[in-house]
Amino acid sequence: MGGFLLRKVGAALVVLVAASMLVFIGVRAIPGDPAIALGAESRDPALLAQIRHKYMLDRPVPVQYVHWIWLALHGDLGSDQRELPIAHTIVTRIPITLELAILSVLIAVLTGIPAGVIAAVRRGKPEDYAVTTGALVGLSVPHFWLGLLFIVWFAVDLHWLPASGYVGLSHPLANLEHMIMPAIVLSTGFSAVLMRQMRSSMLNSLGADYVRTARAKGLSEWQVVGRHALRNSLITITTLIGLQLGALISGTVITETIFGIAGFGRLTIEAVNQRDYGLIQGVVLVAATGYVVVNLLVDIVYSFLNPRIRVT
Amino acid sequence: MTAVDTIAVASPRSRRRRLLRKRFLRRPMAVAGLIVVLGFVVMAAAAPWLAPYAPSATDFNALLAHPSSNHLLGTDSLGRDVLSRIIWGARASMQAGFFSTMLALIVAVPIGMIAGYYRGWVDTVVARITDVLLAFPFLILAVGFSAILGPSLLNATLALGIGAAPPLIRIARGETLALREEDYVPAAIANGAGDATIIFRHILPNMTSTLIVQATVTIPLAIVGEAVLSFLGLGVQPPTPSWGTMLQDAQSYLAQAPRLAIFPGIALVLAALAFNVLGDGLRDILDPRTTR
Amino acid sequence: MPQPLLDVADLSVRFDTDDGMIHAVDKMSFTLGAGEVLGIVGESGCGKSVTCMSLVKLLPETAVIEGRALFEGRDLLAMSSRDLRRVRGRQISFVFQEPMTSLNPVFTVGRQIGEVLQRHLGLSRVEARARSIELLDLVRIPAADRRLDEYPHQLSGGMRQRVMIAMALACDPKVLVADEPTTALDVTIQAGILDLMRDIRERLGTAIILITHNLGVVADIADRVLVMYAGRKAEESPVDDLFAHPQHPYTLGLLGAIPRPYEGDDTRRRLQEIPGRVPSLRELPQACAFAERCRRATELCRTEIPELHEVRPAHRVACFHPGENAAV
Repeated sequence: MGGFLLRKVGAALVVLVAASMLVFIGVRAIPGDPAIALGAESRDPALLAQIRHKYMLDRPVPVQYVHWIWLALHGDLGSDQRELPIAHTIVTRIPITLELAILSVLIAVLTGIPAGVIAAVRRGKPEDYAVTTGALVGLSVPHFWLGLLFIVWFAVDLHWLPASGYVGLSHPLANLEHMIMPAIVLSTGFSAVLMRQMRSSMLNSLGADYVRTARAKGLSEWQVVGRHALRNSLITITTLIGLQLGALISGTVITETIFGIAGFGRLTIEAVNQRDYGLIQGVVLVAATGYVVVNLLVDIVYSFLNPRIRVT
Repeated sequence: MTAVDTIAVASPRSRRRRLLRKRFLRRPMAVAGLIVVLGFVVMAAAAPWLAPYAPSATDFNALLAHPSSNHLLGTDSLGRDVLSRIIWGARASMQAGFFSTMLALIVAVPIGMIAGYYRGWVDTVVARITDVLLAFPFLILAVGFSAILGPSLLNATLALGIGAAPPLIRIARGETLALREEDYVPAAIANGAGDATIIFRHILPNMTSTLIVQATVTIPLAIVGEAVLSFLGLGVQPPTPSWGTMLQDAQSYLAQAPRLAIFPGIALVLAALAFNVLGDGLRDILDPRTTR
Repeated sequence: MPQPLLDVADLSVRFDTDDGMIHAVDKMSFTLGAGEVLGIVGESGCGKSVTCMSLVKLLPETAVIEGRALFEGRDLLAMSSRDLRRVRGRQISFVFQEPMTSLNPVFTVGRQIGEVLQRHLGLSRVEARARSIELLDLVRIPAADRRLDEYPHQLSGGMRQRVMIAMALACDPKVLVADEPTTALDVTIQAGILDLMRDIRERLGTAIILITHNLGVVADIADRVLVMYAGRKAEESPVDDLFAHPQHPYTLGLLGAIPRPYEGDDTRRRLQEIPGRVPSLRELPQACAFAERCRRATELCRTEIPELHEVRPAHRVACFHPGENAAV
């Protein structure tokens, strides 16, 4: 297993480095003077000179890149249009998005996995059709529309929940009030995918020879389904979860925008809309890093769960 | 190709097509999906004739009007007919959906196949680049490219296409890797076939079912992607109608006229659902293991 | 004669599929005595596995089972699911063909064996572990203690099959059903497994039903043999008599198809194939199922189902023209 992990970590590092290069080149590929782009399109010669000096724009590109990475590793991602340090902005916003993401994942897992299992065990029966149809619809509904609908129903019509905004965790009840709708909205897509994958995986497991053996041993249906089939299925879908998390991260962008939550996701849009290339650079870099790290963690978890990798 | 070849190739293929058609017709859901998809395509193509009003035609006497016989779905904040805008909006969605997916396929399949067939350093390079692109979630990638390219429907389509390519490269590569181990490959080589022949006449046709299924899954993602990009102001620019921009406009009027958000959304959901249902059905009938 | 352990009468199994009805087994009857080894022989699809799996309802839901299967006096086919689960693994155990896929890849060997012990005998984890080691010793797996903590993918094919056998014997069942236990294994390993099964019968007195398409295996360890064709019993006989005096044309065909090494004389024997194919199981022909492929077939064979009748001591055939003359 050690070799497997080492290779995964190595691959992740390579990908990270390459991704950072891609971001770096992307920003500098924008037509025009990079100093202007990084300086939020101001024409002030003093500012431009300062930017040129700071980002070493007169040096060869590889040197610029290394310098940029060096700064980044030290937590300095530059300043945005309003002269605020980007790293600080990002760091304050990430926990909010993290909370949203974790809540969504929890909701999706607690709804999607059991539903998928039930659909598989009761294949062809009404429960199966209900779950399969629900999952299809959940896949097809764009969550920003769902968000708008929720706001209309629960905030505007029923006044049960606030339409937007965010309250810190120090006020847990208010925090939940603000987070519950966005979390449910964000979890829909992920939950739908989980339902389908779980159902498919369970159908495979339930048809496998070892399930026949388990039944031949006289085990109860609970033990057969819940222990033998389920364990195999859960392990199989671990790798799929990693891929889905990317979609979840994308989803926070829209969800935060609609619900007026000042999180990392919304920061991405703000940066793009304001053409704040320094901010875009930092944000995309952090997003990619986060995604790569999360996938790496998922891979590690998978290697622990799958005995064929863990023990050889 | 001799006469014998033609006969031998033609009959099994047409028989297979008939079998697939039969299996398809036994699935009402998939058929329904196909009908709705075709409906949207027709809607997009025939927009000038179907829509009662021009999409940018404003009527300042009927702002935010409720549905009536004049305006079946009401009007928006500028007095534009919602129904017409939805019909015209189908153009942006269908264009974005189909063309971006086609672009992704045209780019991804050859790259993936070459990587999978030749392996070696070509494969390693392609695999690493794909991994890097996959390091960015689809939408973030699309948003990023849009930001670089500038907002417009064309650029949004390009961005979506580029964003959709990496998973397709991976699939094309995987399929090629598996298919090149099949027995007919060395048989073809023994018959003197060159690399190109093997790739295009032997391996590619065996991948088509997987690719078709992937395409029907990618299209709805692209459609929703276009709506998202337009919603964020990165796609279709006003006054061209798009379901995404309609939803963006609707945001400011959620309290007074929620229907402005509901109708375009329903169109989006129907389109995505139809493609997903169709994709599911296709996957079922093309899988040799399903019995019906 | 003492009461048989297993008394199956008129067992019929059909599958209700989307494409129609498949009659897998048609009015099978047989008995199994305590400590006896019964071989069930036939080609793929003749219903031999389905017959045995139907006894403890291990078939998919589309199966419709009729008939009576008395196990120690109680009808298995009429039992509640709960009672049946107490029979499975405890009184009647199974060993399947593919040991790699029949063992759960994510649990250790010890856990999978221990499961049966804990479930049926109520053993604690410690007791179960001790007993599991005994079982692995019984099936001649070396270093049993270490093996318990290993996963199926770490064992060889032969060892996995031994583990399956150990699992099946865990609760000292009265009947062990081995469904093609050696088919997926190398020939050299096969001999070891058969040896083991012989050993088990002698030491533990377990009755064994050995399902196979390989007559050689049957000759090795069976006491009695049952030949099945297209879901029906064709011939039933003590093993020596079957090989010495085969009666059913199908049995003769099977024997003729056994490759024999060159024996130093000039008789170069061609492998005899049985012409034709197994009939579709979608209809129940009111005739002898083998008639189309049989050289002895007459009008009678095509219009009536032959009944089992005794032609030699304890040797029964379902044929209108039985006889050991292969030239016919």
